[in-house]
Amino acid sequence: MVKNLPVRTIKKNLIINKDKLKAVENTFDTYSDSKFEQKNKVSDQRKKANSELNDEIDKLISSGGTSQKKSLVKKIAFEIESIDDLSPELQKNIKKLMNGVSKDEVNKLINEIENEKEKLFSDKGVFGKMSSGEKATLEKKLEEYEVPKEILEVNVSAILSCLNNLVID
Amino acid sequence: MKQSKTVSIQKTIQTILGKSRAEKFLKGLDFTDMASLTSSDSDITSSSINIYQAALAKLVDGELEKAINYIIYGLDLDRESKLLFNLCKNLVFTLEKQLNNSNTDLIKNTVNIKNTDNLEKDRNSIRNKIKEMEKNISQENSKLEKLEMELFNSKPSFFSMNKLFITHHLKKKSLKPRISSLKSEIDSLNQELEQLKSDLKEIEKKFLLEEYQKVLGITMEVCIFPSRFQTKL
Repeated sequence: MVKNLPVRTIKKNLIINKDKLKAVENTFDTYSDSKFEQKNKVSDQRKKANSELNDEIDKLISSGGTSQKKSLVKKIAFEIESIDDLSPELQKNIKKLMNGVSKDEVNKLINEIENEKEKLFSDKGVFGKMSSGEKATLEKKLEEYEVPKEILEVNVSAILSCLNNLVID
Repeated sequence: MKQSKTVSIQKTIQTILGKSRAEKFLKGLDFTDMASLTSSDSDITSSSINIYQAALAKLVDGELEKAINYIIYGLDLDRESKLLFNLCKNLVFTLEKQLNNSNTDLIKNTVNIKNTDNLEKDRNSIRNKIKEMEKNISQENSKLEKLEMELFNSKPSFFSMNKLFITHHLKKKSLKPRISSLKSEIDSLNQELEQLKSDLKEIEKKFLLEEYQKVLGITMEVCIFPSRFQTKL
């Protein structure tokens, strides 16, 4: 039996039901998405690392400050550890680019970045004006902020390709 | 690194470089770039991972300035992002390497630069020379046009009454060498101008790379030593 409800209530109910339907559709899409299946395969080690990261961010949020920005950071569930973790379109472009850039050139630059860091700290270098204490701190931080080798290769290949083709207007 | 969250990289760059020079590095995110990386119903366009991917995509496209924009924005949002910090560090190092080689390249590839001690002075002098030369070329071109017109007008035609063939012949004899010498002078001025323009381009490139490196260096410094910049803001 259909109740005689006011039009406004019917409209409201319809909107609520539409939202519910959308939510169900979204859930179905997410579960059937291949990305979700891939994410499920992520190793326990990575999950642990991410849960530690989230705990750390929770601590930051509870300590106050720019909570909005921190909550955005909190949404990062997974780190990028290999080319396969990049978005499909970027993956395709990066793979194409890596075929075009000389592997020797990439490895040479990676070795130079690793072994010739002091150039950045020389008098004419970008960090030349720092005190010796600051230079030591920065060097330590540079070591802490390392990424997996595959990502390092991606970064260096993209940089090399960009600088080799840089057009100055 | 925790206290770094109070110091904005964007504001620091603006303070150090000045508003007009910093503007191109502080354009923020282009959401069309971000949309291609995330699904439409997810709200993580601002996350540092997506910004890292957008920066990487910009490098792949050869848009270094935009990539730098994204690195700055991303590190302002997430100071702990290893991906962005690593990309920034590698860019700084690669630019340092390029700049070290560029002094030798400048002397090798340019005609007007004999030493690289005072490139700013050289740049200004080349800019002035270019202006002067363009003015000279334009004056010589108008002279040439005038002479060619004079020669053309002296040519007798079927309907011309006062123009004799002999007059034209004499005029031609006197004007032709002047025209051809003027043409070769203009050619050599044009060649010189092209060389100056190419030298200027080399210097501008070096200055631009230096600016990119400076901005990325400041970005790294703000991440690690925020207190150094607190007083400047």
